[in-house]
Amino acid sequence: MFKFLVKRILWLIPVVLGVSVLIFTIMCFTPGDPARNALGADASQESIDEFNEKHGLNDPYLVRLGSFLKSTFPEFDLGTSYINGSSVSEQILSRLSYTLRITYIGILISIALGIPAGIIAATNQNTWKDSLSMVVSLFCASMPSFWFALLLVMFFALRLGWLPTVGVKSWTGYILPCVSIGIGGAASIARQTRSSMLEVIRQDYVTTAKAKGQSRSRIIWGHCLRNALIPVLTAIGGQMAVLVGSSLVCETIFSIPGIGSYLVTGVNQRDYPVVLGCVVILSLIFSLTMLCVDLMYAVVDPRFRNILKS
Amino acid sequence: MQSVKTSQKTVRKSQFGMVMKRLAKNKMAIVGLVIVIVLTLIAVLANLIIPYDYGYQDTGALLQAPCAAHLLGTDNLGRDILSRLIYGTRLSMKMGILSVLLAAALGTFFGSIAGYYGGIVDDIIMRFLDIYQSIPGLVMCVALAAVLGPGLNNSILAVGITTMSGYARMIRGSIMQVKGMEYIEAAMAINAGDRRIILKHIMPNAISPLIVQMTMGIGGAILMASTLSYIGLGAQAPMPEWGSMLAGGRSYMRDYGFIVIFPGLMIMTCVLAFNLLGDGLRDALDPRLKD
Repeated sequence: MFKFLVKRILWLIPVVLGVSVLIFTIMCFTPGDPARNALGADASQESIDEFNEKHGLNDPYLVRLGSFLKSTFPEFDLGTSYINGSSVSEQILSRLSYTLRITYIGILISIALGIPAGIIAATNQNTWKDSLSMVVSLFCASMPSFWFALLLVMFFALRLGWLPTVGVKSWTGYILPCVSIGIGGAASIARQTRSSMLEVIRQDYVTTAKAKGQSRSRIIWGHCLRNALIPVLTAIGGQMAVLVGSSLVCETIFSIPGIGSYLVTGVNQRDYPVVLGCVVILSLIFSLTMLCVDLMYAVVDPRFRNILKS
Repeated sequence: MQSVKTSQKTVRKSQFGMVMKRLAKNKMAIVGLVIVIVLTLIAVLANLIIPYDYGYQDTGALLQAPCAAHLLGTDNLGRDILSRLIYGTRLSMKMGILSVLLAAALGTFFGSIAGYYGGIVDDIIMRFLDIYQSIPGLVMCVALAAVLGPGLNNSILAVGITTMSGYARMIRGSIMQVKGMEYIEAAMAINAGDRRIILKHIMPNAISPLIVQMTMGIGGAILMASTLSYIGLGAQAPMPEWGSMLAGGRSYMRDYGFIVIFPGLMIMTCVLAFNLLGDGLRDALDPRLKD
């Protein structure tokens, strides 16, 4: 288990390095003039030359890549913004907690709604409860999260005035953003829970448990769900990628000062160091979460522990 | 020879027939198919059926609630929302279908090379895809759209490139399944070229799951493209893309909710239809997957 953990953590190094090189390369070779984007169309040639010199944009690709990796990894220096000269690392660190809160509360909402909905559907297969939860989840899975966020704002913030429209000054500010990004994930998790529960429910050991006279709740939670959880965990991992993506738009809609809104601002201003830094950090958050999901496999299913031991 | 050809045709036909029969029994899939057909017709006939030009501004009816003259109301510039939604169907379908075609083409290229050649080529491509998939889809898409610049075609490119890894993995898996089979060995023995083996002998086996994945992918691609438009990286004004219509209507939603309700409903209906059809096709092709 320890070996697996070390191996899995070490795998993060090439992943983060690879992501950085990939995004840096894409930014480097895409046509466009960062200097003109930053300084405006009327900028003089001297100021453009000075800008290129200052940010090392005249150097060859490999030199730029080398200096980027050298400064990023040992020192965690993601460079400075082309637009206002602020440190990208500092900005990201100050915004990190908002994004983490939104994303993780979002996934908790997805799990809290999705797993019970899937269980209800599976244990009441072909009844109105099953149809209702699957139809609702189908609609939720097809709904754009930013549209749902707008609808929530329209009703709960603008019409009813129960919750704030923007900002996260108190805990109430987190409700709408987290629900809006969590609902799509809940739908996918519900569908996955239903199908893997249905597979497990037909197994002989469930019949045996029923024959022994075990309570319904013990059969469902103790026997069925535990064995059905592996594919559900995979679905939760997949949803994390969606949630991290949705947080970009959600932070913009609710004016939350997280990494997502920083990325969108960077994109709109063509501020490449900001874009690069945000993508690397968001990918790192995602990879770390996937690491946790992998570890959860071992916690949930003893067979995984045995495989890892052997 | 003739009889062999005929029997092959019969088997293929009956397989296709069975898939269609199973699909026809799936009510949800049929609902999805009908909506897809209707949306396709709307997209194709958009110019003929729009009541007003999508850019026409009725200055006497700004932010008009749904009425007889404007069935779904007008936006802040007096443009008819129904006409814009109808024309937007064409844009969204174009974005969804073209980006999925691009993703499938790129995925098939990389996946078939990885699966067919194996060894170090496979290792390199798969490790690259591992790294590629470590970047959350929408984040990658936004980064690509940032460097490509805003616009409809660039957003198609960004969505296509972002989503290609799923297709590459699927094609690689299918190729690895059939690679060791005798008919491939036989093709190699008669000195058939790699390209011929991949395209003529291997790909037909992978085409069914590819079609299912493409159908299911269109919904996701439309969703991603509309998100790009919402944040200003997709289709640009005055193009009536659904995502950009939502972004434009945001400031007025307090008093004029219909401005944001209808474009969102269109996105949801379109994505839902492709998801239902994709689910139905998957179940029809492999009934074991159902439940």
